[in-house]
Amino acid sequence: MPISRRRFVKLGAHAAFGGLLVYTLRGIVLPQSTPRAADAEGNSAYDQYRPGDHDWAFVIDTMKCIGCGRCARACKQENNVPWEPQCNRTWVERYSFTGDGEVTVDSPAGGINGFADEPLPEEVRGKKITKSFFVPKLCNQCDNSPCVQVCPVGATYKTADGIVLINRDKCIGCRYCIQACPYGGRYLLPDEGVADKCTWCYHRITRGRLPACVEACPVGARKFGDLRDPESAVSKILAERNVSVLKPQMGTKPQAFYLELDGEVV
Amino acid sequence: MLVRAVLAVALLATAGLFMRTVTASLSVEVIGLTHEDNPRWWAERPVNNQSSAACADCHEAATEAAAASAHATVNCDSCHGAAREHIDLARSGQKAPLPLADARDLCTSCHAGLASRPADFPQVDPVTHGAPANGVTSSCTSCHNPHDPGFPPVVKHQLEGRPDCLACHGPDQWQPVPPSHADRTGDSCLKCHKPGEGA
Amino acid sequence: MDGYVFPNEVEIQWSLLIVLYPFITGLVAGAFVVSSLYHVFNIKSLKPVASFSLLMALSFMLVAPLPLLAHLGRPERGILIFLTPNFTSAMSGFGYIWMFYLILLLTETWLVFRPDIIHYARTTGGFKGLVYRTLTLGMAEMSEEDHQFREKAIKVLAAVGIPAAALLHGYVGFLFGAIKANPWWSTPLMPVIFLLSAIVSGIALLIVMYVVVMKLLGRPVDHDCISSLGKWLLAFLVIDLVIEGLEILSMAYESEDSWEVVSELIVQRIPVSYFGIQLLLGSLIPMVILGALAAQARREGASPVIFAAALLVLVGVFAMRWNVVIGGQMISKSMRGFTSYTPPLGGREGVLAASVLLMLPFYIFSVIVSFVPPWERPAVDEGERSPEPGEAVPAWEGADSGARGGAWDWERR
Repeated sequence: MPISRRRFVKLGAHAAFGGLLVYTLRGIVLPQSTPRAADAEGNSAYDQYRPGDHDWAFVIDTMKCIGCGRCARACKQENNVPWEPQCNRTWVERYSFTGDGEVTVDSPAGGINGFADEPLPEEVRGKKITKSFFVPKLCNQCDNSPCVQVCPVGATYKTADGIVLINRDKCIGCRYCIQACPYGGRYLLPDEGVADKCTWCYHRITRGRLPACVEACPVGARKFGDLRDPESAVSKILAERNVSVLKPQMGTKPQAFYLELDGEVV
Repeated sequence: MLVRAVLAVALLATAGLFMRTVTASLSVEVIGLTHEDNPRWWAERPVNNQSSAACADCHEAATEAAAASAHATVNCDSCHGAAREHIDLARSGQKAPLPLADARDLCTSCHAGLASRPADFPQVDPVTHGAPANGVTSSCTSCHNPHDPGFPPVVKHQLEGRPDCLACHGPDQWQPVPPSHADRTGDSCLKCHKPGEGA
Repeated sequence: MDGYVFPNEVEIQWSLLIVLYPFITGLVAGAFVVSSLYHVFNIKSLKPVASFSLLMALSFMLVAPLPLLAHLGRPERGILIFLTPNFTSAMSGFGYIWMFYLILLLTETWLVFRPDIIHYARTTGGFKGLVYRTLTLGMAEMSEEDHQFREKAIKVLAAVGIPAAALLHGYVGFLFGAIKANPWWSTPLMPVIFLLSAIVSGIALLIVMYVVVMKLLGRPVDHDCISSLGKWLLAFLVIDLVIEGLEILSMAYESEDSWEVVSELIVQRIPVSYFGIQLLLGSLIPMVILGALAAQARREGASPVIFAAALLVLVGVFAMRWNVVIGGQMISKSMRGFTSYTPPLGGREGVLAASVLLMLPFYIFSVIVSFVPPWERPAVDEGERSPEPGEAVPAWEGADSGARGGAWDWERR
């Protein structure tokens, strides 16, 4: 009977859509943390490394940073990041207070060339600088990361040890994650058309080394360690000193902590 | 009739497959594109910047000196560039020198005086510090050994490229000769100070 | 670039094509709502455009994924949105919502025009006839039960299609509104604002296209219909303006930390586009015009004025999409600066590409109506049946198709 078959088919289609809707709503009502990918035990140099045993964190001391830019350079060399100005896994900002209530921020070429040969920002020239400091920035590997939430194909994800990575084979280059990151940590790789960002040098930390920027810093403004290890530098700092994070009101739960972060730093 | 039946079956099958992807906890796993391999891909990227310990194998003297100096925290790579390729080539017998940027650029990137830098960090005004004297321009390494910077710098420097001792050691210059030398002239320096012996 | 912008933000990521996408899906949603107003709520004055708007919606719907595809960094992987959607992402909604809605649109269009298709299949030869016969999907006859089912199915689809259209455009609004990182985008009102401006743009385009197509064909325009459309346009325009106004007033009043950059954006960076085009030219002026007309008894001369108002609305809605997409990205997340954007002329995401994508739905529409012109319905009218096999087929060529009588006779008043 043509009608009942047709009606049955239509009912089926609407049931499918209804089920989809229900499942979607379930997906939208989020947990407050980004789910971490299952602990992968495979075979390679990654063999001896158990992601589930670690919980990486970063600490940045803005009072120590001298703005030499070696971290930014080391990062580009380490990770083969294009030297184009819009590709910055990490960068250094300079904050200049001029005593008239104004704060000027600049980051020439992301701090790649340091600040020694860079002119002062226009708004500051000729004025007396009352307070000034550098703020290094990088991906915060958020525990409730909006970038993982908005990826339409699930190309970006959080590992068991806390790093947010991007699967370059799956990324379709829609750039929704770049829009969603409140910190400007992501960018599009120009030649490959996929999203990219700082990975806290995953290839180094899984081999027991420090991220390239941490090793390059001559003054110890960047510190890295395992929160599961109470003796690590970051564990001790978090236990003993007051730390803050960038844009805490966003609820992203960043894992990069700042010491002596001025209120003007956004 | 047949057309209708085929259409109905096709539609149901597609809807069913779609529902299957919906009910999977992570749709990626159903289609077979899991993330399991991806962390490994990232973990296996080459390490380009080597820590200073890697340089010690061949460059013992400089590394040891640096490790004991104020520059102990300055990674070799941060001035000399990422060393992995250089080390790989060297280990296989080939030479691959790491080109160094101009000394002044390297040094001023940290030590040029900037308002934003912590006050207790050693910094100088790059324009006036070590300013050209008597037409002799200097690079930072004229006086400072980057692998063993002292403060004040004590440098055993080569005499090559430094024809005029008084340019730096004259009475009004940076490191004037002590009063005991007051009666001596500039062309008598080399009678006592042998090349490579410095002070 | 002005002030401080994060180094990765200097170039904006979502270009002119992403301005185009919500504009196009908005037109689809709006046109479909008009069609459903007739099929579900039986607003008789909209009958002349009921099928017209369906075809218009279909034409734009087919083009909708193209700007998205062209904009992807890896377009060849676009299929992954369908295969491996991450359901926490509003953008993954594109896959199943668009697909479902396309199926719905195709089904409803096919059902609405099915008697015509059957008729043409029988009476046309050659290539066109082959197309018609294919379109019948092997079911070349309609029994009485088929007709009943058809009418009921159209009603059901048109009804389901309203929330589906809301979802189609609402998800785009949610896509922007749920981005807490961007203060210009982040608001729970965004899906509502997008949907309302979508309906407004759909009605406006329908007015424009209907008048233009009828004039091109030398056919008379149903002024009652235009007048009715004008009233619906006014109603939705008022609600749209109220909600948009509420949003900006609320932001200004609460004056959160982001208000400083947002106010600088609209007052100093995009004042012409925002106040001038979106609000004044595109909303207030048409509202006043349409309001004045609605207050009076219907007149012959009203149609050109409504047409002009509809054109203004279309420009205003496009400006609104621009202001949201581009304006939002001009604000740096540092809250301290702005970047700028001028679309290139050529390239995958340039003005030429966008123009082609905008012209494409009209071309598709012209192809579709060459097969099933909605203004000539030789075999169908409400309450009438397609001829049974063997029954004489009434002549339908020529202007005097008044033989079938009823509301299809434009000339009669």
